[in-house]
Amino acid sequence: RLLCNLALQSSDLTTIKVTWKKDNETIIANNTIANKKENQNILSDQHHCTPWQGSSSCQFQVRNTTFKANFLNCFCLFLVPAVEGKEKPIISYEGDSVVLICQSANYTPVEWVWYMSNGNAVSSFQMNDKYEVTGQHTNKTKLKVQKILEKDGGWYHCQAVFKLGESKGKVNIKVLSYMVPLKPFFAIAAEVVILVAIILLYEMYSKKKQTPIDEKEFEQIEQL
Amino acid sequence: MKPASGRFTTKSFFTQRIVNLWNLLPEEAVKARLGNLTARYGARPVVMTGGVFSGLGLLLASFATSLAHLYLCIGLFSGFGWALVFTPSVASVARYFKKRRTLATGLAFTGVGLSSFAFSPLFQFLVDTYAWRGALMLVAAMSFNLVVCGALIRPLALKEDLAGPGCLHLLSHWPFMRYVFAITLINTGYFIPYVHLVARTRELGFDEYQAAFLMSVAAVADLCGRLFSGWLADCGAFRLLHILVAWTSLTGISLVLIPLGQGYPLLATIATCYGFFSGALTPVVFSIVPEIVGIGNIFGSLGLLQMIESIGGLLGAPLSGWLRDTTGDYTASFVAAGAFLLAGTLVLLTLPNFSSWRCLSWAPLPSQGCPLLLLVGRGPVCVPPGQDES
Repeated sequence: RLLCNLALQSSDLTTIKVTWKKDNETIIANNTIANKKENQNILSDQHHCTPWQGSSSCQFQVRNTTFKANFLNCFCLFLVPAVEGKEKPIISYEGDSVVLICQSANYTPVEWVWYMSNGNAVSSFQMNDKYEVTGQHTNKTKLKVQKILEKDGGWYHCQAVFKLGESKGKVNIKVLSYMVPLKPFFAIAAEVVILVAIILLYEMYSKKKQTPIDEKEFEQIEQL
Repeated sequence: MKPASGRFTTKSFFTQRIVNLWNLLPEEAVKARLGNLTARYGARPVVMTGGVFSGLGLLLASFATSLAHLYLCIGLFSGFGWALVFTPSVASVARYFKKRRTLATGLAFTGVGLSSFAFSPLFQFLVDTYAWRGALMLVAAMSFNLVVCGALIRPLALKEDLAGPGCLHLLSHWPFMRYVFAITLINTGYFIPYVHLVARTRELGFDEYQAAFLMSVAAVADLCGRLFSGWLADCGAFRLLHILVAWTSLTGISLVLIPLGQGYPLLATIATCYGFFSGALTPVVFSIVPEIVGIGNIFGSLGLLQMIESIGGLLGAPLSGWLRDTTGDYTASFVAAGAFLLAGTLVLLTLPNFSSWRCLSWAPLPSQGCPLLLLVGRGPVCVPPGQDES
């Protein structure tokens, strides 16, 4: 995208003609911008999808004066499609299989490369019983890690290689051992046992203290 | 008692509902037997055992390696446990309270609404932190607290308690069976919004947050309805049967009106009404049973009622899904649900003594601590046949 910016101090509120040229060939001629406010910069920009080299120029004509700007060695920026990984960590337990998914919208990359957080390229791993990559040439790739261990946790990077560039996404795995949920489980189970014991013991204790007041209590409850 | 929710990849709503509710089948199958068990051993051991089973089922499910394993654990074990917990608990409330039975039942049922609220974000948090396995494990631990609740149910000996056989003699109690039939019809339509309202909202084009908000609003209305109904019923100004008929017909009407809610405010209003009325009928459904069969038969009758009414619940959602599949949208489903409710209402009208109570006009109303009646002052007072007005 090429941008031309003309700063004009004139109070002249006439129309201004803009001409864009590439290598002296006119692309857009006499693109008029009318009635700009005083002291406002005049902007004109040019969008192109094909790359070009060489020079191009934009030209502003205000009444009888011509302002010209030259661009040398223009280049275009190519936007590669973003790769979607997953922001929320995937939680799994030791021994489970985990599938990591990366997607690249509607654009199919030439290939996918998976990296682990410490920089090893996973797709070149020979450990076929542990790692499996599917969807190498589609817009959705999956990395399946079997029998995952705690040390396998961390960030996994997927890199989509396009003709014109590369794009990365990342997925986080958190590997927990079974002890992690078991601790609160036992805590709650212990609480249950303690409460039940308290309730039953209190009842036995108060029954010993009770005499014929027993039946009257039940009748009262009945009338509630 | 709401159907379990799950995630399925099949597009057919009918299949979804069948698979969802298959979980409930074993639970319902045991409910009739429970009347027997509870009458013999008392509510406390049964509820405590139920608590153990429900927690155990969820715990075993957390180790599941296949869908079938999950179904068996949650459906069979936990389902069995929940069945053991529910009926004796409701029956115990009915036994402990006589004058304020409906309000007590309504209050007891508010637990359902409150836990729904608390549990949705809590479960999401558990899944995010511990994945589904850990989450199930912790939910199992929380379920074990049902044992604590069971321990709190002190045994009560009433003079009407029968030492006799369980519940089978109730099958020949004709008014009770008519009541069960009415409630079964009502149950068929009752759960439809719980399974289909969110989908209906999405179908109209609203997003998932709007749909979830709708359900929350209905849940709040449900809670209010339960409490209000309990309080109103115990005021004593109206017969429980009349109150029940009023709530069920209003629920049926609001169900039929749901398809008319095309815009979000209107749909939200109708959903709120549905929530309120459906909540209102719940405590009355249970507290009216001792009036029909006597408090001595409460365990057996509630068990039988639960078992047979759940046939309606099990059939209702798949039927609704099938209607959706064949007609293309949910209009027919909701109208059918409302129709079932109104049909149940009609059966309720056939119950004995529905209209044989004599209602006098403009006598001073017995207030029984009900400020509403104090305000009104004078109104229709109904007495059962054979009793003179005081």
